[in-house]
Amino acid sequence: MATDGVRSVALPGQVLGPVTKFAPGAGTHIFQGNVVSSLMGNVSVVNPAKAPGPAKRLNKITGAALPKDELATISVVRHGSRREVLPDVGNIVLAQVLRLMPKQAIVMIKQVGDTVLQTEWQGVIRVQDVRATEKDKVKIYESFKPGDIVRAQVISLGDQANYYLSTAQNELGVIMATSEAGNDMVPVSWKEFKDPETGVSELRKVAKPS
Amino acid sequence: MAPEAGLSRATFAKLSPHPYLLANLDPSDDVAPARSNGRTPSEVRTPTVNLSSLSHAHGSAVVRMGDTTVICGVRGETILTSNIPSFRESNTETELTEYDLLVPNIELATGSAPQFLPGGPPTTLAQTLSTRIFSLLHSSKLVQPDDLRIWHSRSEESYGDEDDKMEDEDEENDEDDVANSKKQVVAYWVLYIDIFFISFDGNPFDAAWAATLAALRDTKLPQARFDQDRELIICSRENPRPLTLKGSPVACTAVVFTGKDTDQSDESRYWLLADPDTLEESLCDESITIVVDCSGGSAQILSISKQGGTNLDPKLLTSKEFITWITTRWKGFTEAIDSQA
Amino acid sequence: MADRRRINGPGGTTLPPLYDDDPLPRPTRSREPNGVRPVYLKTGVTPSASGSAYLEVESRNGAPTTGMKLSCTVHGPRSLPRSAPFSPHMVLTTHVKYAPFATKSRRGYLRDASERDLSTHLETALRGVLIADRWPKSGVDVVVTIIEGEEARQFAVDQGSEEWDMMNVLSACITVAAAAVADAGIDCVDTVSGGVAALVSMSGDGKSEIVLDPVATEHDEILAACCVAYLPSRDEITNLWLKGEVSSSDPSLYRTLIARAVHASKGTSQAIVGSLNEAVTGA
Repeated sequence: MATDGVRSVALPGQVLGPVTKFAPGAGTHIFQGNVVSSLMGNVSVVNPAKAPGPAKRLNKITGAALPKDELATISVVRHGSRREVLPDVGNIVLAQVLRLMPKQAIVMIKQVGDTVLQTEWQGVIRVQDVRATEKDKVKIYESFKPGDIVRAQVISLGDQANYYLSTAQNELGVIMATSEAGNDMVPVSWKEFKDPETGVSELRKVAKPS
Repeated sequence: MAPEAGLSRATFAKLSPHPYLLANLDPSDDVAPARSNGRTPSEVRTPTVNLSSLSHAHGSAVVRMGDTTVICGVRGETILTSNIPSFRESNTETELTEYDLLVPNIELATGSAPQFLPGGPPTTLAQTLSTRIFSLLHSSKLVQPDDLRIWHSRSEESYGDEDDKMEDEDEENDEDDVANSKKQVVAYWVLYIDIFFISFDGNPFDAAWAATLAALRDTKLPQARFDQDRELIICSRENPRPLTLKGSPVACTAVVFTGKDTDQSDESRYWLLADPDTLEESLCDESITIVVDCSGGSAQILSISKQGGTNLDPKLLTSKEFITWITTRWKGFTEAIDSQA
Repeated sequence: MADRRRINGPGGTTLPPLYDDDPLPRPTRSREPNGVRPVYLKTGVTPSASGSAYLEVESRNGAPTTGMKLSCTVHGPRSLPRSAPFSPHMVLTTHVKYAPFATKSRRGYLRDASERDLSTHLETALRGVLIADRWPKSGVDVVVTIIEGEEARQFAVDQGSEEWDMMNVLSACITVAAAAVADAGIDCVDTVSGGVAALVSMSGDGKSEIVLDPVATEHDEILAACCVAYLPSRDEITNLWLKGEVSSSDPSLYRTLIARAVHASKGTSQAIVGSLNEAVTGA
């Protein structure tokens, strides 16, 4: 078994094992033929049989060239409860709408996957990325309002300030919204939220509830 | 990814902190109401105090309240009265304020929280806190002007003997000298009170003031005398003298949390949250700080300051629960300081 | 022009106390020439920061030198300001500041040249350790606050002893920052630590010797000193600071001085690794 003789906790710079034995996972890098920890935390070894698809962008430095077929992936998980991750292409994120512009909505990304972020990253949903059909008829102010919580997918790392997000799937769009009267609203159709107290409907790009 | 599979607690807290706190304080099921941080509304974070940990300061204190940690260092420097432009010998009342002998400053920009990074000028909060500490120092009359005076007897012929005398021996002792020497204030101690936040998690004023009080209690100024030839204040390492502080005022802060986070609060339901953390402070507009001193036995209120909101009324401030709460809070702080002294 | 955003105190000059009693006896070095002082390290002292650490370099009980106390917070990785240009890797910012009560003479609120100098050295030391391209488009701030800087407590200002003390302060800054960065979960190739060695002249005879972790007041005169930021498992130096006068008759002396400084950093590193291991297993 590959787990034999592997330390349970690691600090940056400590050798975890030779590359002939392990494939580098998250929180590791390769130096002089060894997989070396680059984080302080607990070591975990995942055997290739049930190895999940290699997590994206974890091993940018080292990865790619190595044959991962038969090797167990060794990784270091940061100690403590807080873990910081960067949004990456393909991730589903939760974001709050900050402000609207005629051609795009600016949002603040609050959660990536299941990880609640400590710091916030700015994202942008362009008008052509709001929904998959009838793109030419989309109006930003009929899709979002500042304060809404949106589920979206990262489609590009974007420019220096913004990640580019898309809501062009049924499951993506506004999941929480507050009416102009200040009440929480419930989704009533694919394009409407309704205020249960005042009965007034407002237009949104609604995420399909399940 | 399964959408709408129910949001986790952490997600809910992050996305909508206000309803999250409301749900905790007003639970729908049988769970006991509590704040998001697990405390009951009137529960405070127990303060711990460490004294004299800094060796370059004349007095110092470290105060911890949960995740808020403050270090206060008091340092005495001397100023000759000839360097004080507004100096009047007759002034024995307003020396502290008029000559600016107390210099408190708050530093938040130590990375004590993500919003306080160094590099810029002091934030509005840091400036406000410094000013509040400054005015409370003066209005509470905590520091006695006499502790900061440095006396000198300017005798005409026999200053040889005079120089060797410790100046804190009062003039009564040498009545016969009064004829040819006049005892006067030649210099003052200036107390630089620097308050550094190492970690910031809400309620900065209570922590900063407690650190200031504890550090002043810990302060011992060296014996000082005037060297007439060199026109300098000379100090001695022997027998430094502690300050005599008047009372021990303690600041108690609470915020008011209302059920609605919009302006039109139709219902008058509210919770008074003692010793708020950063999250609670960000969700509440109304706050109250009471400075109380119970060292005389009963609770004496030195100052009340209340900002924002309209929920608190005079009735609450005089209610028995409230007085009990501030008395307990006072005890908590003074016991923490006394246990170290 | 007075700083109107702070409380400034009296307009006239104030002076720190001037003592005329006999100076306290000068401390003598009781450690072996190759001994380093014990350190105490704790991570996670500032919970709202991404990572933080507190380091104490102990002075012996009752010793007239003060040792050092430093706290470090790491914020980030977080988004860069909107005005910043695109960066494919993490942008590192370091900031070192003495508290006003950290040293014998009261420090000002604005950073002076020596503090900026320390920041620059610290930045170089850390930049060589971070795997910056794992965090594109992001910035990280490393803030070190010197709560207590090494300085003789009750001496009249010795001839330039504080410039040597700065080396020890830098070494401690590097060590505490490395621990805080590790606590923040930012990828590093190694755990860097600082070390100082100095060439001191022996009292009496004109000979000189190299000591580790020098305390300036414990020696008659420091001829030269060297501070390194060293990666123990890679055997690399990311920052080297050497100053002083070394007689040119012995060219190998420089190498020896650096080697001894590396040795000092290894000593510190062992203590740090111990504390960090404890932090992980305890969490």
